[in-house]
Formats: sequence, C-alpha cells, structure tokens
Amino acid sequence: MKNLIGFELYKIFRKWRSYIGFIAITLLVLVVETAMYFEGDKYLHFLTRSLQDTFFFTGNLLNGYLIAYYVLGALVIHIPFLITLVNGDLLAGEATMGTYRMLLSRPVSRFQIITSKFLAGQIYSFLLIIWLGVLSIGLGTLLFGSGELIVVQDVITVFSKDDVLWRFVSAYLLASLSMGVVAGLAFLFSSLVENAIGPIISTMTIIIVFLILSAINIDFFRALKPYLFTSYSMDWRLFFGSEIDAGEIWKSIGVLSLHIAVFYSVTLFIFKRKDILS
Amino acid sequence: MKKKPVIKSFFVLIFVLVTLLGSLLNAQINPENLLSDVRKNFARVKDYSADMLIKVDINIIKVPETKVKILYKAPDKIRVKSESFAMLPKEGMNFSPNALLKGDNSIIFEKEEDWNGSRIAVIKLIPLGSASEIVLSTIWVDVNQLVVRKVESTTKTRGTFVIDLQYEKTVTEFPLPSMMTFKFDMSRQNFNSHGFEEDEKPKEEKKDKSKNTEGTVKIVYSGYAVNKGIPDSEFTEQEKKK
Amino acid sequence: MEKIIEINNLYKRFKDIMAVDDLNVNVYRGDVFGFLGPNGAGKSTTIRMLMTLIFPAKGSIKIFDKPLHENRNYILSRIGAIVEKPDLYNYMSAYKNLEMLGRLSGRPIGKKRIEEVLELVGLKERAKSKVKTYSFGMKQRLGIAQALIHDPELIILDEPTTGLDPQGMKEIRELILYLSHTEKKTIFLSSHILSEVELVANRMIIIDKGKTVVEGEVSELLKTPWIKVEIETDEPVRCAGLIKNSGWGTGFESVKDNIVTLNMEKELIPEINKFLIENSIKVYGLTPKRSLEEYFLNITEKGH
Repeated sequence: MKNLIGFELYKIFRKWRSYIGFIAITLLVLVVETAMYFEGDKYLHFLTRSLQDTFFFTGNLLNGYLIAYYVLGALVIHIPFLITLVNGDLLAGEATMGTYRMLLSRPVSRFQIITSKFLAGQIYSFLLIIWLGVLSIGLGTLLFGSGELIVVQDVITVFSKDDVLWRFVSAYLLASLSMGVVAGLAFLFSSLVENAIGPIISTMTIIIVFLILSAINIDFFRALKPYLFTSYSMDWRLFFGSEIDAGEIWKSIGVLSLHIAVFYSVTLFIFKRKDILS
Repeated sequence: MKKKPVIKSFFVLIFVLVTLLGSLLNAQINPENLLSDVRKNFARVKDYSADMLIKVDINIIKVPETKVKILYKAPDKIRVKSESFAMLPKEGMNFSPNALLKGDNSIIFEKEEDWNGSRIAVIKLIPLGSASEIVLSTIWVDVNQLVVRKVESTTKTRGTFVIDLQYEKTVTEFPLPSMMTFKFDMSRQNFNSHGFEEDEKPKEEKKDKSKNTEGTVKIVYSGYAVNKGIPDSEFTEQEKKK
Repeated sequence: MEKIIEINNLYKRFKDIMAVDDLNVNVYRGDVFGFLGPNGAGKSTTIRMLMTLIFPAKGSIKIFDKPLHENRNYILSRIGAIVEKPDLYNYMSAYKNLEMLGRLSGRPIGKKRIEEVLELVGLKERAKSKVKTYSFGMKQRLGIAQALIHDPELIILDEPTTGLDPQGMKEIRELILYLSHTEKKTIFLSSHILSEVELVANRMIIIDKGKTVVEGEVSELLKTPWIKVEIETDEPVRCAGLIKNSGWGTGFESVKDNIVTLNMEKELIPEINKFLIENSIKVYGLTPKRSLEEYFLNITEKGH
C-alpha cells in the first residue's frame, strides 16, 4: 500500500495542475500581506474602533497572527476549488488517459487502488492547508512580528502571545479535515465519469448551493443546516473563541469525519463493481 | 455658699467654648479651596514611575492580565511602556487632580459622607461650555488626606464611568493610588468583525443574548519610584495606537 | 498438458448486446494461442474479463488452475497484458513508467530488469524520453515492455500489431516467437488479422458475435490448400492475360493498379513465380493473403 500511495503522490506532483493550488495560495498570502503592510493600521483601527474611544492600546496587534487569522478566513470558497482540481482528476484522469486498464491489470486489488488514491488526495489537500498555514504565519511573523491576537466574534478576545500558536495548529487541523470532505466529494464524483471537468464543477456547485441554503433564514433550511458539511467549514474559529467549546469541536470532527468515511465508502462500493470500459 | 457662682461660670464657659469649637468644626466646606488643596497635595509629586497590573473584567471583552510600566511627569506627561499588548482606560491613565479636574467647571459642594472614618466631601463638577465630552462629574474627596477617592462622570456618547481609587501607605507615602477600579458600560459600542462574512452558527442556546455589557478594569499599582527625575526624552516616543 | 486458461460457458451482456455468448476456451502451457474474430466479435470483452477489468454475467474463468476472482492478485502477478492500445503515463519517461508499474507487479523489479526489457523491445536508447514524444509504434513496444517487466508466465496481447507498419508487425511477430520459443512463455494473442496469427500461433479459436466459430490446431484448421495471392508487377495487364490463358486461369480474380490477384494452391506459388519470370514478367512481389472474412466464408462453405 505504501508503494501505491507513493506512486499516486508521485503522479499527483508530476502534473502541473497540482501546483496551481500552491501557487494560488502563495499569491493570495502575498497579496494579503502586502495589503496589510500598507493598510494594516486602518484594518486594525476598523477592528478596534468600538474600543478606541474608551481604551488606550499598547503592543503589536498588527502582527503575523492577525494576518494569518484573516487569511484562514479565506478558506470558505477559494481553497475548495484548488482541492477539487486535483481530487476530481484522481480517477477521471486515469480514464481520460486510458491508464485504468494498465493499472487495474496489476496484482493490486481495487480496494488498494481506491484507498491509495483517496489517501493521496487527502494528503495533497492536507499539504495545501499546511502550506497556507506555514506561509501565512511564517511570512506574517517575519514581516510583522508576533504578538497578541485580537479576534472579534461575539466577544472581543485578545489571546496572549504564547496562547496563539496551538490554536492555529488545531484550527488548521480542523480546517484540513473540512477540506478533506471536499476532497472526498470530488473523489466520489471522479469515480463516476471519465473527464475531470465534471467532478470539479459538480463539487463546487454543491458547495455553493449548500452555502446558499445555509444562508437562507427559513425554518426548513435552518433545520437542514446541521446536515450540510459546509456548515462546519468555518468551525476552525471555535479554537479562537473566548472559551473553547469542546462539544462543538468534537461534533464538527465527528460530522466531517463521517462525511469523509461515507464518500470513501460509496466510491469504493461503486468502483469495485464498475466495468472498466475505457 | 460663695463657691456656687464660680462653678456655674466655669461650666458656662466650657459650654460656650465647646459650642464655638463645634460650630467652627462644622463649618460648610469650600469646594474650590478643597480642590485647590488636593492639587497642592498632589503637586508634591514631580514625577513617578510605577508598575501596573491590568485586569479587564468585561463580559464582551476577554483580555489576559497584562503588566505595563507607567511614567508620569508633571504637569501632564504620561507614557505607558509595554513589551506586549495591553489596554487601559484612557480616563484612568492620568489620575492626577489636574487631569481629573481639568477645564472650566462649575463646582458645587453637595454633601459630606463618612467612609470608614474618613471625612469625604462630595462635589459636583459641571463643565462650562459645550465642547466637553463630559456632562457631569461627581467627585468624592478625602478631606483629611486631600486625595480623590472616587470620580463618577457622565459623558455625552459613552455613558457613565466610575473610577475608584484606593491609597495604601505601604505602597507609597505620596498621594498616589495603590489600586484603581474603572467601571463603565460597553452597551453603546458596536463591534466590527474581521471584514469577511462569518457564518455564525445558531448557538442561541449557549449564547447569552442579554450579555452584560458592563465592565470593570482593575489596575494594581506597585513599585512606585517617585521624584527620581525622569528625563523628557522618555516621553518623546509617540504613544502607540490611541 | 497443463491448462493455463480455462474459460467455461462465459457470458457478458451490455444492455441489448450479448457481447460474449457461451464462450469456451482452453489454452495450454507453451501455446501461442490465436484468439481471432472480426471487429465486434467479443475479443476485447473476453480479454477484459480475463484481466478482471469487467465482470462476467455468467460462467467461470480459471487461470493456472485457480478460479480467477478468488485468486486475482496471485494470478495477475503471473500475467502480463496489453488490453487494446497501450496507454501509459505520457508525462513520465518509459523508464519511469516501467519502474512504477513494475513496483505494482507483486515482485521486486530492479534497474537491470527494466533495462533488459527496454532492450528487448528496442527502446533502450529512448528510455529517458517522455512517452508523449513516442511514435505509435514505440508506444506499442513500450506496452509490451510493461507486460513483460515482471517476467510473467502468461502474456495476453490484444491486437499488438494494430496501427503498425509492416516492419513493426514483423518485429512484434519476432518478439512473440522469441518469447514463446526462448522464454517459454504462454501467449494469448488476439487479432482480426488471420495471416498474422497464422505465422506465430500453434492453436487458435475464431469467434464471432460472442460465440465460438471454430477452435483447434492452426495447421489443421488452415489446411485448405487454396490461398489468395497478390502479384506486384509493372505489366499487370500482360501478367493478367498470361495467367488467364494458363492453368491458373480459373483462380484469376482481379487487376488493380500494379497488383494482379488470383486464388491458387499454396504449394504452387514457386511454380507461378517461375512461369511469370520465364514469360519476362518482372515480379516485384508475390504475397499470399488470407483474410479472416475469406476464411470464414471458406470454412462456412466447406462446412467446418
């Protein structure tokens, strides 16, 4: 299985499209950090405007952590697309190239092939998120230094400097689980077709539709919301609450993991029974 | 028989003297003079530096305890030095009588109170003119120690805040507080999120919708170094982020 | 003799089409087995079932005397196959393709083996070039290489000469003969070109519409003495006239461009060559042809 996963990762990173995600993230982070370099004071003023009449501030709030937090918030729409680009191609790409026949004629089971591809896709997605984290925090702290992190949710919370990093690590881990669901869905669609465009568009369509449904303030859709995986895509923010809501975090982990497991299982079920005609 | 008139005169004299003394002691306090005395008392402090431990206790703001250093030089130079983030109420930064009692005010003596054996004069200050943010201030002045114990101010836009000052001789012999408690209401403030749409989860069952927006900032002073001579250059670095 | 492939009562339906209809095939160790049929006969479907790419509706397949689906990995580790045209990873070199696929073949494949196989198929010089730069023929040879990389006992080749020029076809034929005679492999060779199969196979089956038409030893099945011969000459009209007026006249068929076509007994080909030369006809080529369609018609008429 290790050989297979290594082979799949090798194939992923031999394709130019796999680097689009990393390049896009690099550019996103650079653009945001450049903007913050010139306009960061205004942004911070905007965040703390409500307090400035009453309070005097000291210390470096415009630091790498603040920027990393802001960048992480961009996950909702942008990163899923980058993930579907690769995961949507994992199976459909083999069909397009015609390499299914050769791959499946090897003495490796379909279970091994599906599992290795699935895991390779998840690893890719994880690496993409980690790259986001390393770049935003690393470059951010290099340019802006570190310091306390101010987060405005339902309350204003300022986390002390040594209380921030573990939150980011946890947040990125939860975020990568959330992106793992996107990867799993794209992978499932990829097993159904012979062209990668279909899975990419289908996955993004589902994400956008779910986000729209979540935003509609009608009882029916509000009842539906807990069952939509997009409802949990911003739950990494739970690690930046004034109090850590462990129950909600575990619920998120459970729901997201369940989605991943279901997408994987359905893909495996379909693929094991599929006639390879391409 | 001749002794009785002498004794009677003696007691009358004692009575008159006591009555006169009582009257003298219970004479109406002149608020302007009292405040002037308070200023003179504080004027003994030419400069000081002190450590401040700031504890913010507001439901809607969560900030860790922070330590900063404050520098003061008469009449109005203030600088806060900190390696890390700290937030402290603006009104509480400079608690000198000159700062607390700044501007033209109509001064009215309201009453006297007794606080743990101290004689406290309650004085109203009404700023003259419309430029001031403060509409009305009430000041509790310790008549014996000539320090301000409490200030309650009502502002035009930010509600009412209260500053309580405690003084401990063990901390410093100068009229400088050992602790200041700043109370206010954040309800008129609006919060701004981080600029991207955050999909707030419906956690109404956990959120306290009627969140108490009143808050307290407690500042504990220690390590006073008074009248040691602080150069002006210490105050030339611009304050960060007011 | 040891049966390597045993197909019993095999069926496969795609919607309304019965692609394989009660097929029975036996391949023995050491065979070069010709699996013939016209386009759409069910050859590729059968091969895909042998390689577990598609699932039979009914019937059984045993390879190396073991049921296929219950012993899939074990069996596939001993088989090398090209299924239809060989599609490899275009963005990798031939060497890398073989290295990666070799690792998945169930046994360790070293650098030496990869180089051996590349040399065998004549691609050693272009080993490090990306497959997308290869010609069709080179890709075909690389396809054979990936089938051989793990030294399988059974090699399944699905129309390996499709799209190749005569030189390419000749090279593939020679490779098949080498693998059979020298390496002692069992070869299952699918094709719609009878003459190609005839030159290498010892046993064969012909299928049509998913059903067996005929099966047996090549020499027995193709014993019919008559064969179509194409004569290439620069005097086709005079050549045709000579043939029509000779003892071969009854077999004359047509003249087109520089080619004269006639049906005649295979043993008499040297005779006709001599006859034409004696009559000052320059013979540039004398090619025996046997089309599958003609063979079909032949065996049908002769009641095979």
